[in-house]
Amino acid sequence: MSALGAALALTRSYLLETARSRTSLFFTLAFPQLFLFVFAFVFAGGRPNDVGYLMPGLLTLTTITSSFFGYSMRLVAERERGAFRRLRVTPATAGTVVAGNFLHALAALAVALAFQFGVGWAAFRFPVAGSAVAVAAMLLAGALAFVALGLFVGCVSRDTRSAPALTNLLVFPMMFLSGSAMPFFALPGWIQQIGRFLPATYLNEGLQRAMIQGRPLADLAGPIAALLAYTAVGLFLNAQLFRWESTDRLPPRRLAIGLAALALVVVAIALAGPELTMAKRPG
Amino acid sequence: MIEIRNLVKDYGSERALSDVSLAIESGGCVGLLGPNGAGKTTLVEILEGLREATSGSVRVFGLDPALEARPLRLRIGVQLQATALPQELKVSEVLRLYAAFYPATLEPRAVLESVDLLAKERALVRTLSGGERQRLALALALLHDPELLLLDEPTAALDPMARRGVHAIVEQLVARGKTVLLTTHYIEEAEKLCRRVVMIRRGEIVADGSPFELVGKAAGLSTLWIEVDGPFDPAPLLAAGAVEEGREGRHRRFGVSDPGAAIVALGDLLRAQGARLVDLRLKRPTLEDVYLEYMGESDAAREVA
Repeated sequence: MSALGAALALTRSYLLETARSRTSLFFTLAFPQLFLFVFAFVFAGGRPNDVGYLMPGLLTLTTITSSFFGYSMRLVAERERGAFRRLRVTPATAGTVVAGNFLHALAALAVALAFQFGVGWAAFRFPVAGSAVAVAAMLLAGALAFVALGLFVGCVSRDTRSAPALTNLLVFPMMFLSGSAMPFFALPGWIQQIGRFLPATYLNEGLQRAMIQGRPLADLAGPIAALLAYTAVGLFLNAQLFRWESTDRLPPRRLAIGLAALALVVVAIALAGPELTMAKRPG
Repeated sequence: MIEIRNLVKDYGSERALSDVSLAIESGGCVGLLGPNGAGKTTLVEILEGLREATSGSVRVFGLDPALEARPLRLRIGVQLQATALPQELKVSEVLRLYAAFYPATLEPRAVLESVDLLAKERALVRTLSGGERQRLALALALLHDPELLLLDEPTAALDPMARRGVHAIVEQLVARGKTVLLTTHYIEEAEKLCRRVVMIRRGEIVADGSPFELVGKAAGLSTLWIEVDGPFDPAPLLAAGAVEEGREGRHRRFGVSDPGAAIVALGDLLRAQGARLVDLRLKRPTLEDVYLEYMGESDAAREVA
């Protein structure tokens, strides 16, 4: 069978496993709603308009945590328990396994985001200013970027014991400095400048443009381009750093090249990326 | 089929394999026998392309596993020492997944049938017993009908019944003309299944041959028990190299290095002394004796420690 067929077979198997695992289902479907309801009642008093202001940040949070905690850790655990080792003695390539993991995470995240959007809308009837296509395109661009980056973190993490340290180190700044867990306009100017170096900022910016400002798809080109650049460098990092076994060492040369590429993308986007309209208080 | 020359494998400063040379022809089952840590798994994993040799040359079907892994893996079936199976998939789904990696496979149900797992086709992997998991791991190795099977301790940690099930599968594969290389630390398993046994100790091959040949080469003594009615003086038997070791009931026990010569001497002396032979029993050294002889007491002592 073709390489794509093999990757899709792997994706299908992973999705079946996820669908049959209560833990996976809980973290995919139920856990993000905990944030939704806490935020909606504590910060928005359950008022539709105010919940609408929170939704971009919440969807960004779900994207960040699912990718960096969920799929990243899953990759590390699969490698650690020897699942990739068994795949390695088949003709499957590293590309097949990376693609299988990527597509599985993308599909699971799409379900998680759609579910959160649906639950939020059913519970609070928040207004959405922009078109469904614009919102979906923005969410998809975010999912692509974060799944790729999350799996990259899984590639470089040594094992399931040390992975959370690296993940937390990346996730917490992203939650608080990108305007996801607190409004971006409320952050001091210099922190907003740091925010420009984080991919989550562009997802949040794009979702605010689409959902709150009601901008058309064409006006999302900046944030989408930034996230696609993150996707590309994330996939490149995965291809460079995928390991079949926990005992395989990270190749230092490839790690250096990969990190240099990542740094280049991060800095280029921070300097030349889209304007952050969410830096100004709305209204 | 497999050609290994002067293979050396170091893990840091630890030498796992030192100067191993081995050629395996196609057909039949060949056993790699040795204690844990002897280097069996390292050797098999180098053949599979999972580990790189430090020096020496390895060819499987004329292919270098380190450089030509992909074409090689189309032709070998592998059972790792521990197979991490997807726990939340059904048996049939696992086969379907692995079938996607090969250009052509056997009918999955026929493969399940051959490993006696068809009844569990719809069962989730996590509900399978240890023996069933091993048979599923075997099924995955057989799916693409490979010519060569590399099985790493396929019966370790299985109960005797489950082990017998795996033996039957291996025998069936050999009957179908496959070549099987299996590692084991069960001597009786090697003796039962293998046309050729290669004993490995601390990364070196210490014995190589059919079980029949290896037992013949054993330096150990055979034991001869005889029960005699009438006058009996064993002096001529002792002169033929036997050592009297004592009595068990009415039997006298002798250690003999050349059982043929001892029995001829016994016949002569019975006739000469006019005694009647009531019972004779002979125990030849077993493959286990040969194994212990080659593995040496130092290793045995180390395992106890």
